[in-house]
Amino acid sequence: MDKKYILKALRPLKLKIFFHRAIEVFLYALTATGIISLVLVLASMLYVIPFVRHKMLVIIGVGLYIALNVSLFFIPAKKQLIMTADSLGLKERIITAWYLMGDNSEVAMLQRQDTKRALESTNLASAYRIRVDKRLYITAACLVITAFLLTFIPGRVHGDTVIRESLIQKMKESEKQIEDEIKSQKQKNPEISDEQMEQLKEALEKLKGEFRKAKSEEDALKALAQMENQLDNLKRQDPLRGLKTLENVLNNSQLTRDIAEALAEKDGESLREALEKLAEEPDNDEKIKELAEMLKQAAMNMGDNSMLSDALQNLAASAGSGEISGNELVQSLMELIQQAEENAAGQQDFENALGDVGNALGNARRSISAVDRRVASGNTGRMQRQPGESGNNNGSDEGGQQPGNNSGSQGGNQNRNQAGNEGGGMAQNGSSGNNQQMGGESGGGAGEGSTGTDMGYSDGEQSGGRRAPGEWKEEDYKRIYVPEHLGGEGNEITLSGRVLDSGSSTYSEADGAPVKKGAMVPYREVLSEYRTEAVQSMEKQDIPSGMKELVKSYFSSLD
Amino acid sequence: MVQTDRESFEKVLETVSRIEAEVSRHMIGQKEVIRQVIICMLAGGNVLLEGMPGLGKTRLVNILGKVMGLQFSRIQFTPDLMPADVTGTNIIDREEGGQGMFKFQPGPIFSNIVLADEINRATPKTQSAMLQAMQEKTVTIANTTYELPTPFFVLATQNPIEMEGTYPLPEAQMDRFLFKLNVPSPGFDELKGIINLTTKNTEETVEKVTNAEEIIKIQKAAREIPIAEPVLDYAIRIVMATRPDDAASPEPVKKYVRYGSSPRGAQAVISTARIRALLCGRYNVSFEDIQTVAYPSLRHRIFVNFDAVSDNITPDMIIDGIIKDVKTYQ
Repeated sequence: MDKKYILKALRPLKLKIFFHRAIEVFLYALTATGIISLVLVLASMLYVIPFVRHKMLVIIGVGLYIALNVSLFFIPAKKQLIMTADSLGLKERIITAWYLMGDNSEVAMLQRQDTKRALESTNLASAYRIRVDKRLYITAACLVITAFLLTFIPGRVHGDTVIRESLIQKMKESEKQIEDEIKSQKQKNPEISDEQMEQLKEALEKLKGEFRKAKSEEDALKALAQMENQLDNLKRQDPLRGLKTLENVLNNSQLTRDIAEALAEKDGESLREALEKLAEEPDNDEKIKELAEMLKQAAMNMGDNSMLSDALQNLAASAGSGEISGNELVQSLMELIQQAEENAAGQQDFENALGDVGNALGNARRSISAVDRRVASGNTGRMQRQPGESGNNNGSDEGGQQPGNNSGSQGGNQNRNQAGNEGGGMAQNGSSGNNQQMGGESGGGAGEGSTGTDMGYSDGEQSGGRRAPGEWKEEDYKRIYVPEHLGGEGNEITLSGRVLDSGSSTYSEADGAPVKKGAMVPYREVLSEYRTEAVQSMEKQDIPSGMKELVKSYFSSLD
Repeated sequence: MVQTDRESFEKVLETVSRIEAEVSRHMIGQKEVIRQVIICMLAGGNVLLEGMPGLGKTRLVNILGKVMGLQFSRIQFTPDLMPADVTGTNIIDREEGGQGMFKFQPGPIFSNIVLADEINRATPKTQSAMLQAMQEKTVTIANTTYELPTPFFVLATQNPIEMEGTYPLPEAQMDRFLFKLNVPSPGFDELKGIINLTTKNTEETVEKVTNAEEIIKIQKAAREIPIAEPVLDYAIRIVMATRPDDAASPEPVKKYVRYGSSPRGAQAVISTARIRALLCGRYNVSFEDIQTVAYPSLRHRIFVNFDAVSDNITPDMIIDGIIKDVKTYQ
């Protein structure tokens, strides 16, 4: 009998000890995760924490996974194993045999024989009893069950939590639909180039990022507006128009006229020859600068064709600063033109794809904007109506459209008829190019404030910015976010025109917007009261003396 | 050193078991005392039996002598007992020619098993006469040292209640006893058995199981029983824990113990644990062996202070605390 024999004989016991320890570690982990879950559930009663049950399960799952890994470190060591085996009736036979392993005396051999006999006649694994402290079982079970049951008790922010959960759910669904739509575009529109597909995917990734950050319906709609805007930009990037502009500019110079002609003829071979001829010309700073200047001019003339214009501008800047040689400039230009031609070939398909994705975005927007209403109308069966609010909600919310009839009163009287198309109709300018006519509600509109240029969602123009005359800067959001629940339903307002330094823009003013009474009051009704208050404050020295003039001038200007 | 061969070990195991079985056949009850006396004797030590009169102490010793085939003598200790009455003395032996010369007349101590009955009734002078015999197995009279027969065991008894006119054994003499055993009173069934066995006209035939030579072989074989290092460490830690000045000793020891065990205590524990392992049919010493022999080995080596006496704390309670406190593996 050697050490290997002993260890082999002890293997079943080893497994059982390991199992025992793993159970204990699991129970400790369950207790710990139970405490964390309980704290989380209690916090969810005070703060908006969506999907608390799901989070609880994740916490417990992670805890148990960690426990599984930790328990691997609790495989009993040899000494521990021998100690345990000896304590199961072997009376230190194994530890003595282990110590006598090199001893060949008669008594040592007798001892080993005796140990072997004892090992063979004892079922160590069944002799080892797995006993876990009952208090540990009970504590772990109580914590987890209590935490789980508490999730069914509505807390202070239950309504908000339901809305947030619904919103997250909708965002995920929308994300999936848009992603599927984008993925299917390659089959639907085979001419679409890889780069264009990449642009769509890039826009989707940005949307996903924004959705992850979104805390409210407003944030989610803002993210969708951003993507729609991005799709609009992509649509405007017509490579054919860009190439035509480039052709016009290049035609103005003797140096590049051949290239312009080749572009006009759409003759790839001639274009390559013309560019090669240009490349063969000896490096001349003046020629390079001339070419760079022309490229810059072409980029500016392209306006919002940002992809090609950006590339040309970068190329022009590199050439102008001497970072690249004439040969490199010509080579880059050739690649750029080829890419543009490739994109131009698939432009029709790309526009179709943009239209499909735009439709998906529109559906997503309607779906998300309906969340609050759906929850409030009792789809979840948990929201309570506000006092004084009565009526019923008929119809269905499918795809964000709301056919049907909403009758009743809210605060005062607001009859809404979605079928009617009175007042200012709303033309929703979908990025797909498919203008989708939405029925306007009578008296719709976002009311005052929503008729501004961008409702505060654009970066705005920084005063003192370094924009050169004639240069343009595009706003991040040209679409105006329309608050749909400002005291009731309203029409969407869309500005037509482009936000630039010059030009005109039009807007429609929504009279009688369903704003709750008291929420907005004509300033003349409150001016005198506010002025009196201000005067009193100034007399009581509540306002710093330096600011008094400012206050006075403010009220003077209001008069 | 000549090692014991396999057959001898197996025979030793068998003999030890037969001794226990034969003694138990003639003694009703007291199984643990019987076993511990056998353990102590096979380890070559002396036993101090403490118990009320009439509990069978003398009978036990008598039967053991017969079962082991050893010479047995009994000394009833009284205050007027002189050392020479125990050890023997030189007497004038007058020859036929009229010339006399001193001749050593051995005392009752010259026997394999000596029963020193009520040892605490003798004066310290007589008690100390036993010291050399118990420890060195020799007796020195008039500058002549006489070896005692081997094997040699002293089984002393003392009465724990009747203390008037007694001379409690000094610490040094107590330390020379390998075991101190408390003989309990028999229970109902045991008493019934004792009456049935002793009040009838049945002739008692005690079978001689072994002899002096075999006993010496057993003692030698027992010393070869291996003890694993963790078990040895455990025994030493237990003995050291009896000392109040030891950092690892438990709180009750620090509070109630005046002096702890001497190294003889550790020797006693280890040597008797080996015999116990043999009696249990094992060739190794277990933690349980150490724990079992710790009580008889250490109880007379732990000297408690006045606090312990006033709080009714006995050495056995202290040993209980030590066994609970000291971990088997460290």
